[in-house]
Amino acid sequence: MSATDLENAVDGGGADRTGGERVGRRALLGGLAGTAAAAVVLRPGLAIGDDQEDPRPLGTVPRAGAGGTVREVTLYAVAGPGNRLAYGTTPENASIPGPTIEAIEGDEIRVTLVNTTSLTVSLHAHGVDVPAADDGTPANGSVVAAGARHTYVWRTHAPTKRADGTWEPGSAGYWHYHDHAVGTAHGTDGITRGLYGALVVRRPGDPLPEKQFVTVFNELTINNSAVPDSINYSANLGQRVEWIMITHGVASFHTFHTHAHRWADNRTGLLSGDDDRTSVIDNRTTGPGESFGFQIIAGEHVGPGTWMYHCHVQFHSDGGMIGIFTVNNADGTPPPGHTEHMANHREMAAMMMSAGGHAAHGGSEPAKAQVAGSPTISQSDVPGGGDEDAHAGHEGHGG
Amino acid sequence: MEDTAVPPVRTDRFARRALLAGIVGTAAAAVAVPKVTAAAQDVSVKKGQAAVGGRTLDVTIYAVALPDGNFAYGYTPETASIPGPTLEMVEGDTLRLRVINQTGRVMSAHPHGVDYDIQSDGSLQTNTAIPAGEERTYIWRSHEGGMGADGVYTPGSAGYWHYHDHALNGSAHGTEGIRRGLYGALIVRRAGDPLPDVQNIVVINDANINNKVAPNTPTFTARQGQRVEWVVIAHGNSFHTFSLKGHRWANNRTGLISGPDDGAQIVDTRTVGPADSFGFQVIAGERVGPGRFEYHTHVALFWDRGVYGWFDVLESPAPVVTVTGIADGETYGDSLTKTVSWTVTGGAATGASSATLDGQPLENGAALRLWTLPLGQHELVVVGKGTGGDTTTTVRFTTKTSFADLQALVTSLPMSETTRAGLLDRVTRAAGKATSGSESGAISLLEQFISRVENQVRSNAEVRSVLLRDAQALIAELGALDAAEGGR
Ligand SMILES: [Cu+2]
Ligand SMILES: [Cu+2]
Repeated sequence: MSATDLENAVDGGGADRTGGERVGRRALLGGLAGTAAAAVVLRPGLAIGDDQEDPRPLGTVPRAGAGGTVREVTLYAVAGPGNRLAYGTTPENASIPGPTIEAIEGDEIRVTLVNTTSLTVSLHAHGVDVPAADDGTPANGSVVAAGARHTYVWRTHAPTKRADGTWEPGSAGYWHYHDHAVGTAHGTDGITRGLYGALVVRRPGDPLPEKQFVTVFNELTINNSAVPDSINYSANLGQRVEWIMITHGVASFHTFHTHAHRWADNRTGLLSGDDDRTSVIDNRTTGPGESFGFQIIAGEHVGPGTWMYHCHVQFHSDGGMIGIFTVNNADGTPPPGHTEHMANHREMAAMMMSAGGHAAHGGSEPAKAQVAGSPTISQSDVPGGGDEDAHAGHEGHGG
Repeated sequence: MEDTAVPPVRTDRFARRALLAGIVGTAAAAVAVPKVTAAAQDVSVKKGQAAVGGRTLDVTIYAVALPDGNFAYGYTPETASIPGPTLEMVEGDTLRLRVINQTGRVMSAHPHGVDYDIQSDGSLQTNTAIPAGEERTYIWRSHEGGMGADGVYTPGSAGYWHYHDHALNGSAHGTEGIRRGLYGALIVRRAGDPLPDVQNIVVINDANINNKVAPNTPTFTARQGQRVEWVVIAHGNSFHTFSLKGHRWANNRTGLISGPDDGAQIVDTRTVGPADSFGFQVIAGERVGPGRFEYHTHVALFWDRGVYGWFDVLESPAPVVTVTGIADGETYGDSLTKTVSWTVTGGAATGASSATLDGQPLENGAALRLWTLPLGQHELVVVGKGTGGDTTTTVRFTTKTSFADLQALVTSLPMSETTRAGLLDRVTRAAGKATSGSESGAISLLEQFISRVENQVRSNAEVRSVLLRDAQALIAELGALDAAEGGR
């Protein structure tokens, strides 16, 4: 692995939401580029300063605007190499996890699922308002047969005071969606094989990130991958990073841990102020079906570095549930020692694998064996990210 | 060490610090937290409230191999323990942790929660572990929370965190070091956080607590009423539910609620997975009294295999209240002035107290002019506060008057000298009559005394009423005596 490869790999992480390039890396899918338009559909309404009458001091951070829009999204369920299944906004850009779908409280999301596989698949959402007919389960018939399509309608709402004086919470949260039909009535095989993605519902006024990472602990893999194909992310010092963490699997619980970064244990990961007594954590227990998210400033109070993130269950991390979060210098150049630290990471990953890492006992199969004629499915935080080899050759460092 | 980059600062820390200094600075001075200088080792708990941070704490710990095959951190090689020393900081402090590796193999110290640059990561991958026989100084910083210029609040570092090995024997994630005991608690307090009297560290390390299994797990003790801080850390591969009997806490940063509107859930059991940590403070035996309480994993599989221990809440000896100046059952002449004071002592005394005299608040050390009290029975009630309950001491005493007292009062109370001379003459002569057995003569002179008081002591109503009261009391006493003797 050359230094150039490493640098390309570093660049793999994170949807870049900086400035006008909100589509960012999503369009650069390791040679299997999807259309930028599809990604735009997923992230409408997040206009800078598009606030209504939010009494909060806004500062300079871009914030979520008002809800109330109908979002139309098309998702394709695709079978890929290595027995994988994935969602994509086109058949070609399917990824594990699938595209991150975003909305603002008050929005209605209409997801048309187009099933290109030979299996019956579905789409089941967490957190949003879903009528039974769109629940995505075999029990109520809202599944999609091979070659068919179905439009799921997910609604969201703002916090509302009920007539009895109590409050109904709003829909805002770091949620997720997944298959509920493949293999079992609970979609166990579909999830195992990669049919899952993040669903973010924001409250108007919520700060918007510059970068977004999606990490899914799926049984003993991260995004159906394990070292040496670790899921790596990068951001520049000072960038606002949103990290969405989802857990899936048949039996395992995990503890998600980030080196040198920490967050509040609540809806947003942010504190309201000095009097907010919410725990601040850098390690969180999570089990199947759970999700949470938080925003951090890359390198805040700690500086650039080749930081690890991993499951802190020791035999999970030793088995490969580990990745790298590279905080570049503010100008986008790699942090000091980066090449060496990445080399160390690879060396230790190889040792883990030779000691029988999880990839060796069936958590997932190597992504490299491509089925002839079928599209590549990349395992990553966003389509095209993370899988370092898939990145060789695309744009270099952003600096 | 070379600073590779300046971390971005988004917080107006100066203003906040200045504000805090104004509020908390006096409290800090009151508890006399020593200014920590280089080589200071003591980062243990101080009574009262956490001081304002900003200090640089230089701490040296050793990592050693124990004879039983475990490993441990310690302030000295001889005192190394599992868990290792509990390291404490206040937001704003910097901890320079010098780790001397005497384990004979590579190891490290990796913290959770605090700020460290990549040189202090303590991982093999970043080349920041410590080879056998060498040492390394890790720099752990902390910060206060504050609003950033971007309008988003940055949380402070406060929390119940921990540190652990991340490298022993070449393990990329410190798996072996953690399994064999290289872990400890790291507490970052916010200025003003309450400090505990007692601290219990519980590390559920897979199938043991602090690398021990019951009955060898720690038995913690506290006196009823003491503020007890629990720090709970999990390690290894298993998930647990830490449970404490007889006590409960809020599921937030401190375990304390801010008031009745605080929506934090109150729990007595909490799920923890590997590397999770939390802490809370309870009052030992609060509302449940003394006794033996179990702490344990509530996962029965592990509980049954010895992942439990005991928390003994000892009955508090009642505080001892010692009153001086006034004694129970005594009678005092009303011309006396008594300085009434009391002390509250004993193992569980908080030093706090309150007192009432005949139902009215009385200050400790008050000079009590007895003539200002009605003649007769009085009740002084002193409550000494104790952590396990209060001690109430009642002192009953009587005030009376006499010719000597009345003479003393006439001598000392404010009035014109002419009046004083006349009154002294009457009362002295009345005393003489009484001494010689002539009650009626004495009464007659006291009636003259009364008449003079009524005519001449006009400006000071209090003095006037006291003199009249005492003279009439003497007359009543003499009359009773006369009647008892059958008259003369
Ligand atoms: Cu795990
Ligand atoms: Cu850790």
